Amino acid sequence: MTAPSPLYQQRLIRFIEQVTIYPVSCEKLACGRTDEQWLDAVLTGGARIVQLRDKHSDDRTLFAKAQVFRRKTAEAGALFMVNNRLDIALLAEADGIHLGNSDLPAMEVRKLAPDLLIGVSANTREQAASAKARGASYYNIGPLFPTATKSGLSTFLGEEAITDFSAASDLPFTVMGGIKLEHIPRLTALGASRIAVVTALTQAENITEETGRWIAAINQGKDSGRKQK
Amino acid sequence: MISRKLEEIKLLMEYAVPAADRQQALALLEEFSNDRIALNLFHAFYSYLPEGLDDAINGLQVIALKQGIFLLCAATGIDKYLYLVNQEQAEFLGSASNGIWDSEVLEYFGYPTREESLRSLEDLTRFPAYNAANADTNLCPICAAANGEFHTLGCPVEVCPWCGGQLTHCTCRFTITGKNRLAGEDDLESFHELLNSKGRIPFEASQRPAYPAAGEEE
Repeated sequence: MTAPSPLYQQRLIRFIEQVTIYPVSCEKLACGRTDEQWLDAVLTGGARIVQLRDKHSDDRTLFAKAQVFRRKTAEAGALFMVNNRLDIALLAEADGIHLGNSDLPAMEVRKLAPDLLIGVSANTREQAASAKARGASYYNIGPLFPTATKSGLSTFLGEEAITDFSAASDLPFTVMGGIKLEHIPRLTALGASRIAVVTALTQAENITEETGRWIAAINQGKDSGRKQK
Repeated sequence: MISRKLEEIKLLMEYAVPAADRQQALALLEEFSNDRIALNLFHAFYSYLPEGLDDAINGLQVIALKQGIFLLCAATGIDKYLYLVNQEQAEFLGSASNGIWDSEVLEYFGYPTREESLRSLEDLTRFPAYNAANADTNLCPICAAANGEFHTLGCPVEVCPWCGGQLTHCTCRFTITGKNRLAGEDDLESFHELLNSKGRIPFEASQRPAYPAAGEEE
């Protein structure tokens, strides 16, 4: 494996040092707001990374949208990630791509995209442990909490997954799934300082203010952790 | 075709459904394994996963049905989502708790405003569970038109108002339009107008294709 390029290293450092809230788009869950309106709001709120996730638009529309995301994130000094679509990520000059478990393997994507950050989903400790060897830059742990109360489904890992998974890998990680603002002190105390969210922001009445609240809470949690150390 | 879709959904579910929930999710899929409406919804859900997280559908409810287009609610481990579904495709509309935002969908199903849709969706328990459309004798097995509704143009169950035969197979469309073939949107539109003028025959249960029950032929 060749040494990481300066561009990749720069992106990774920004990811490690600057990312707190990690907003993921979903226009259909944004209460009538467009992805672009959502983007403006989260960037104004202070997000240092955004992920464009859109599996409904046709390719031309998605590419045009990705170009807008690229321009606006660059202006705001934020990282721009694309969900799943390597072609769109490369053409729009995104900073990275997030790959789900049924998407292209990270190892193969790395061959085509040596400079991109690559995020992978980790639903098991084994997936977290193998993320680095698979060429990933970070992994996402989730879902952490159950978000529906009457479903009867056991679709969550629990916060103990944070310590469990992170002990298996030295890559940076994000956490996701059912996370509420009040969970943040506990999550940051467990070492989770980058929190990915969809509906917590897309469905907020004031997305900008809500983004700011999450960032403040995460930073406060990180500061408390430092003081304790 | 339908079996290929079923296999695709099962493959998607291998990645999308948490192991602990797989058995229950597959059982629900099997229940609707011959039903295009449900399969279209399952395919749309498992290939997208609205929240980007592993999840599974554990129930379907009918919110509304008009002219073969269903407004369905899919209950999952994370939320309850609305889908607009017909025999061809399913479109994700968003979370049921947010109501309906799309003005065309609101108008189509007779909701004056989004707020009205929100009120209607407040208590989801009042909506019936979805039963396979192809097994419901009150629905056309092909286009899912309900009793008294017109079929989707091109549905092979529609009865020809001129000859009483099968509209997609009789030759009336050529006789009436004076053309050898209906090519393109304009021809279809003209035929549609003539059909409406004559008076289309809406779906009724007696139009459903019937096959002899086992032992009946003896």
